Amino acid sequence: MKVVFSLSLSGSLLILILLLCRPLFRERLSRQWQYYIWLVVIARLILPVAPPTSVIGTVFSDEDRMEQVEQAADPGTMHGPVQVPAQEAVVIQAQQSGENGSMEAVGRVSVSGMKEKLLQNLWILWFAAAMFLLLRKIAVYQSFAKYVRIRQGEVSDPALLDRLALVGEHAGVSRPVELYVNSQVPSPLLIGFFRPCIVLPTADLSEDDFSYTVRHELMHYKRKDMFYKWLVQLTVCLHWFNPLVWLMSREINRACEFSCDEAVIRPLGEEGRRAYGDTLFRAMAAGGSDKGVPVSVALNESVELMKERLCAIMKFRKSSRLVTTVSVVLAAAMMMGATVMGAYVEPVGTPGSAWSAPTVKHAGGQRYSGTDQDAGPAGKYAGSADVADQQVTDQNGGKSDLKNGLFGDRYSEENANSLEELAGQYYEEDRVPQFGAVFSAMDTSAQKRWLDKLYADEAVSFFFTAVDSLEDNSPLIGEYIERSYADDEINFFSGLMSNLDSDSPLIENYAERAYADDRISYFAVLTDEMSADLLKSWQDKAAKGDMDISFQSVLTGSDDLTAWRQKAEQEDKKQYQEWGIVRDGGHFYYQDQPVRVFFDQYEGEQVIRTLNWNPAGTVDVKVTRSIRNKIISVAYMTEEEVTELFDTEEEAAALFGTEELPGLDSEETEEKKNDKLGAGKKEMGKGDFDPDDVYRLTAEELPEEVVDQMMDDGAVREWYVYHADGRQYLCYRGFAWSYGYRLQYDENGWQVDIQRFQKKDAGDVFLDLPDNGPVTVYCDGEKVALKDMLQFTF
Amino acid sequence: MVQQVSDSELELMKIVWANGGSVLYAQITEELAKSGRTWQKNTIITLLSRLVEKGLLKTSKIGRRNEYTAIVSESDYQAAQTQTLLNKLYEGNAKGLVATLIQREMLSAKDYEELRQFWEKERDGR
Repeated sequence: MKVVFSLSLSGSLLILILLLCRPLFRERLSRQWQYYIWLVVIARLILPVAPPTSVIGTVFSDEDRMEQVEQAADPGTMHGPVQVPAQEAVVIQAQQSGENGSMEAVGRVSVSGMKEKLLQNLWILWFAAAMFLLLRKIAVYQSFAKYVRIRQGEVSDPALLDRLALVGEHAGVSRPVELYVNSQVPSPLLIGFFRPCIVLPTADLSEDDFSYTVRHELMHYKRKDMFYKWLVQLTVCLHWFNPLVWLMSREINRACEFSCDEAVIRPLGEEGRRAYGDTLFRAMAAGGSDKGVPVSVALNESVELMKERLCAIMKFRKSSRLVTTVSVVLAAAMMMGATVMGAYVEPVGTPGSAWSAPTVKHAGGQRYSGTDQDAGPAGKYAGSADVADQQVTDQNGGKSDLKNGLFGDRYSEENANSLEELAGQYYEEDRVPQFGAVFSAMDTSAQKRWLDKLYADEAVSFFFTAVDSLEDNSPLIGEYIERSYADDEINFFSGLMSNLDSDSPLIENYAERAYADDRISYFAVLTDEMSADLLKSWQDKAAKGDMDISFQSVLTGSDDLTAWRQKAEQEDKKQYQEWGIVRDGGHFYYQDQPVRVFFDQYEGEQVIRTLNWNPAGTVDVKVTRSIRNKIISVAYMTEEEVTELFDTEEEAAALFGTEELPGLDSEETEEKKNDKLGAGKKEMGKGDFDPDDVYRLTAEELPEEVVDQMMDDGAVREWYVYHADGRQYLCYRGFAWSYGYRLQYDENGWQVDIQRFQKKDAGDVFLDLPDNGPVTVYCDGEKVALKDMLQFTF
Repeated sequence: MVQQVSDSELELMKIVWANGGSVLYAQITEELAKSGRTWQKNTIITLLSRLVEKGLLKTSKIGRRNEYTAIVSESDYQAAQTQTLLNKLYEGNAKGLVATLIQREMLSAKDYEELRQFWEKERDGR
């Protein structure tokens, strides 16, 4: 029963997806595709197969697991070994007595048994309804087919038959097709699977109308639409309780007509299409009012549908290659969806799938602790019986007895074999969940042997399934953590660590070790597992600055980045002060002298931490610090050292200290940058302008009208100037560089020098200037082409 | 009772009877061509299968070809059809039928004489 529900559920999701997406592809993809894509849904609805892990499968087995837990908590099922056979017998007896309703048996059945019985009856109800619907449909169809033929309506006019034969030949239908006329049918239709028979309401049709009508019906035959329709009917019968499936059936019927029309008109020209539309229209007008034609391939259905069909015919386009490709891709996606959606598949004959693991461990495991090796097969069998029993009390309804049978067989086969051999078998067969269940029932030494093997084989998924079923504090886990650390097996290491509680002392121990051993990847794994307190203590350590920068970077990947940053800045300031350096805004002072070139770098690494240029400075200072962020030395720079950094003073001036090179400060917020830039600009100010009246903006800060204009122009990777409200805006979208700028204002207007520093992934230039003169832009010293979108006004 | 057949079906039956009650498909098309009919293959097959369904013909395979054999002889068919006609139009009264035939001169005096002699011979024979 659960299987049916799961199929219905996952099918429903697909139906919903298709229905919701329909407006997107209705006009774009071929009708053929829209018709046949439903086959994927039908396959999902009626095929009880699924990949080992699937969405719906997981949902349903989770539910199973919950039920298992419920059962375990239920005193009725918490039975000792002696009760086992009795319990089993009762349930089986209850099943056998089934409908006889032996009151005695029912009375003795446990709560779970009652539940099962209810589900079993539900299954019967479902099955009975499905059978009833299906048989009724078949009966109605048969009597209809008979009724159509019995009326002696065969068309005997050889001229019409000839025309039919010719159309058939044309359409590639070689089989002779019967032709009947029956005034009782509302519209032309096709019946019969193997001996196709077209039934027309009247044979009194124009030559064109007759050929088009017949061509349409023959197309249904050629495409085997009858089989499709019956497949749909079967699906509807099986999923009778699901309204979405009924809706789907209606959709398919419509899609069928559309795609059939499409197939008919594909080889026709414009003229032919119009004629075909005329035929459809006349057929509808002539159609009787008799409704309730059962499963048959009717030419028309209702006025509304007909309208849509006529529209589709006139809009018909042959699909382009693109559309074809998209169709294929979408169909593949649907199939993927259907597969991933999966279904709940009863784990028939699998002694321990994932969900039975806890119960095996519960019952079997305890028993095993008291069983020594010479208990032999009998002991093992008792353990197995437990598993079997759990299977019987599982809520899978009707199939439980069957499953039990299969299950028992398997176990009598395996009876003589040890659990370890069974585990080996599952290992060979690559059945992870089954393996996990068996593993959990093993004794410790066997578990150890297996873990060794899995570790050596690097069978990661088996290994962790096995580890999952170990006790939380099993010493084996610690053993393997040490081993993986020693062997540099980070996969195993990280997996094992994630199995620990966050307050496990092991995490702290290994963090210390990884730090001491300079194994940053291991340290990174550990920071993910650390408790909040532990993480904080490491971050504090990092903030104090006595840590390797690479380790710091690992630690700052956490949420409280900002707090840590502030702390780091403070620490930074403190350290500078100790060495006689003061930082004020964007500039540095060494022993109270303003610094021209301030150069802070890591020892030996050639990594620049801070580089600053202040033209007003009088001294050049070089700071060298260790990889652990400790300042080792502060010294004046020689002229050579300075020219090594900047070829000329102009170049240094071009950088003009507006932006610091990589290091901690380069990630400061935009506002901060602006502040600093403002400070810089004041120093630079030589012309007759107020640099404080120039702003660097973010895209969000741009006035709406500028954004609108920019969107209209589609301006990307070009320099634009827009004017709004007495301001002008210099814009360049897609400026993937960090940059600084220098301003100059004279009688020629604004001159903006942009200096590019470092490549970034993305970026923009948005500058807000007073609109009191034309703008000229230089980028890296070269004048750029600029589009001024409006003449400025003085 | 023999079922009603259409004119085109009867045409085919006549070909079968004319060929000794058993023909191959190829012979049918040949005969049809002789009488100036150019029916499509599927038309012929449809008509033949209707005749099979109505119990006038049966098919048997000779190699890969279908042979059609009449189950009902021409005279049996005629008798059955006449009977139907009698029942339908003359309520089983054969005198009425003959009277119509004579009155409308569908039966010539010579025909009538021949029939009379045939009848007397038959009656005496009994």
